[in-house]
Amino acid sequence: MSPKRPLPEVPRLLLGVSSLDQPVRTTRDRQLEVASRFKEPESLAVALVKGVAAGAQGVIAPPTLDVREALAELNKDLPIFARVAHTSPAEDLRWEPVFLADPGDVESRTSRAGKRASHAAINLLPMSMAGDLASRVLPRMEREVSLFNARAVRGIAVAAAATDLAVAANQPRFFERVVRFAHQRRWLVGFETRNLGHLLTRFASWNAPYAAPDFVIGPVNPRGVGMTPNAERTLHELRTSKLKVIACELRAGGLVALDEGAAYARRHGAWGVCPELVEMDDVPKELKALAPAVAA
Amino acid sequence: MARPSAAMAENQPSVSSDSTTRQRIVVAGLGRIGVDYACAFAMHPFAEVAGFVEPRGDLRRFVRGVGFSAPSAPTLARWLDKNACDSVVVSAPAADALAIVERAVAAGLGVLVHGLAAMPAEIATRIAAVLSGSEKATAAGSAVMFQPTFARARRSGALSADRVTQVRASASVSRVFSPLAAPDRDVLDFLLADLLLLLDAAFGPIAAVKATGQKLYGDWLDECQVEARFANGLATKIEASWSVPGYPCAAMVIEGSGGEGRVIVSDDALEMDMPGLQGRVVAASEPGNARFEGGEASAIAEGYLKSLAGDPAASDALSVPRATRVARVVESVRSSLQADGDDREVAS
Repeated sequence: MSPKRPLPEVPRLLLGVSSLDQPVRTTRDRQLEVASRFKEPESLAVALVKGVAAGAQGVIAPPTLDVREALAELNKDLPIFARVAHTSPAEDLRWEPVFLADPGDVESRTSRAGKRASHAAINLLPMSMAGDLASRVLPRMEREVSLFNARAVRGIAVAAAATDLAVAANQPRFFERVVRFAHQRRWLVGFETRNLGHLLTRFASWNAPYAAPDFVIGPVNPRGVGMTPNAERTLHELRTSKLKVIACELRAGGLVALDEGAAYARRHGAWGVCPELVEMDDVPKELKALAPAVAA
Repeated sequence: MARPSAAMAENQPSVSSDSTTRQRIVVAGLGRIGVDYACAFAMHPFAEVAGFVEPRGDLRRFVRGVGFSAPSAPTLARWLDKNACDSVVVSAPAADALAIVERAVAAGLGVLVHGLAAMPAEIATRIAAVLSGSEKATAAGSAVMFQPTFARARRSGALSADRVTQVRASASVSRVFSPLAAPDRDVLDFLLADLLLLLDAAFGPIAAVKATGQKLYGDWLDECQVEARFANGLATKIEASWSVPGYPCAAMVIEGSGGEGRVIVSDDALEMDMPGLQGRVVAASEPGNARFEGGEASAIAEGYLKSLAGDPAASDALSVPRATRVARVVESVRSSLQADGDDREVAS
């Protein structure tokens, strides 16, 4: 029997590209400018490959067509952390809860990648028969990950919509099952949250005996923007938590410089940082400049 | 809807623990928004989710499966047979909302109705009539009323009929391209109602409208242009479109100008150039208004608890009469559209 492949190291510097299709805290002009800059797959591909060359140890990539087309432009694999349970902002057109059903990606159902994705999730319980939240989202996660090249996938980053639902519902079992699901596949597993202070408090109260997530991703910045329930409590939890926190929203919606935000997050106990494309003008240059701040 | 920001603790207005007991909340209507309300109240120190009301069994199972263990029932009457609560959040579809509101008011409960302004005017008016007979707190929730830059603009007085004589307003978002777009929604209820709420809060009731609209991508309205006249005589041009590429969340803009100068407020920033009111405020620098960030309901839930504690700004943001007026304006816009842009008075 061959020994299990070890899990990768938890990264200190990640590059986020979710800001291309998700609402983010920045000005409208800035979001439109960035979306326009990376409209062509080639330009996004160049930014990603240069970002990794400049020190990013992984890319948090949503399974959107734009991102997959950009990755397909490259003749090398970039280390990918698939953003799973990824939802479209247009979900607000529906009355039903986001994770009630899993309609799947219309585009992917007809594509080769989509068929591969459906095969990947075939052994999991259909969502309509699922009971708990993990059972509902695991098939979706499996399918979304399989849209990426398997060799490139280092782990998953569970979208905040699912994470925060489980936090609010006080469901440690959700985290337990997702961690087990990911580790069985030798993937690192991180959880995005828009409520870092709440999430860290919950984990401390659960005192769970099972394997913890490899990391969590949440807002940390000098202005306290997005740090719920408030900055003071979030920083306290950050200092005392056993979880590795990768800080995002470092620029506080554009109020501070990226290096200032990264240094602040690290000084207050963040394991690493994850700047978003929308937070940078020159991706490789600014990522390289973060190297001293994120050095262990 | 743009996500509201949250800022440093010292900047956070808080609910007074002296005047606020732990509200026992029942969420009636377990759609996306209902689940958002459940999360927001579950994470609030002055509230607890006491239960759920939802006729659909799959949605009750969903919420239980997600991990909310509070008791649920298909109707509010059945829920109240065995349980007690202080307030009911009505996040049910418009067709079901009236019956829930009637039962809640009859039971002497506080009521928060979500999305009243976007409901058909007849239903909104009947709901408002029932709520007007309540002795407990009543509220109409819409997240846009808690958007920090618009709230700041209202507080400052820059966005008021006293300061401006010309007004333009627009709302843009990318939705019609989504495979989730369906004929049961259009740009009027999805987007225009929110913008009208902001305009009513700033300049007062709209008395008459004249509207044109376009169906570009299907059988539903994708764009509309409205000329509106306020009761105070102020006139404004309003545009709303959900077919603007590159806008994952709604962008609202109101521009006002007059003898005193000008003001531009959007969900990004507030820019003022008026005597005593100068400068630019960006949304991220404004104090946050929710302890839990997730969906549209967080700021409304916080606002409801603040209004129960006597916060006048929160109570004003949750005004039932305003939401009902806006529902009537939307109806008048539809009527004008059907009459090829004829003037339509707004029913009072």
